[in-house]
Amino acid sequence: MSLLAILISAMLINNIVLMQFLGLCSFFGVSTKMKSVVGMGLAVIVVILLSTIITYPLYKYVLVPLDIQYIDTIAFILVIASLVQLTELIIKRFSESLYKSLGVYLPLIASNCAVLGVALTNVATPHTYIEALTFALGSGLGFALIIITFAAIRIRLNSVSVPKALKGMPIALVTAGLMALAFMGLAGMI
Amino acid sequence: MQILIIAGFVSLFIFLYIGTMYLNDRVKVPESCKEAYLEAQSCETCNRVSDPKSCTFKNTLEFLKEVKL
Repeated sequence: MSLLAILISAMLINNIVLMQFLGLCSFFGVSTKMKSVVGMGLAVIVVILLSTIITYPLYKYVLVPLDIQYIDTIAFILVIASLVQLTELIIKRFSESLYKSLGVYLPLIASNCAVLGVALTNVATPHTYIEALTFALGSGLGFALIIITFAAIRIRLNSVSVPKALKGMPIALVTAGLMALAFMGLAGMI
Repeated sequence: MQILIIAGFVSLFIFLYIGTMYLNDRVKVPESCKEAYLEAQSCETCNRVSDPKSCTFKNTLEFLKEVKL
């Protein structure tokens, strides 16, 4: 599969949020303001890419040769959490403007299952390193695209009359379900 | 032998996490970013209400307690 196909597939067809239901906590929790979702989307792209840069070689060149690949989940959780802490520290220390726009969302991503899900999917599928990075970029872009679109819909929903029983989270869940159905229409494109 | 390797790796990762967490905690959030930081941490999925008029999880539990079957 070409790199472009992997990118499009990860971004639209096998979208981590709508098709694999990963990262739903931040998807629903942060998608109330447009400013927040842009920062969150960027932060997720950066963290997914950084975690793939570390976790893929860790699995292929350390865990597999030692025949302890079954500890991948716990190893990846700890490595990703450490990586997020380290990234936050560096951004906080050296760039206030970057920290304000992107770094403030990093604590929310430390335990985001989308990041772990991408790392685990990458090692479970026969991807090369470049393909794994492309897949990670596509997944991050897919998350950003969906969360921004979803926030735009939620903002519009605030100005319409919604039955009381559906106000807030219920209508958000219905909206996410309809979006997932729409994206299912792309299945089989590649 | 393998158990020792696993224990070693897991301990290493745990120490790595604790170390980075400790270092990160020691670097304070810049004053100019405090407001943005607090706003970003208000993710309310688990302890929500985005709309105060809608039913919260707590309200639902209280409602369920009131319902006599």
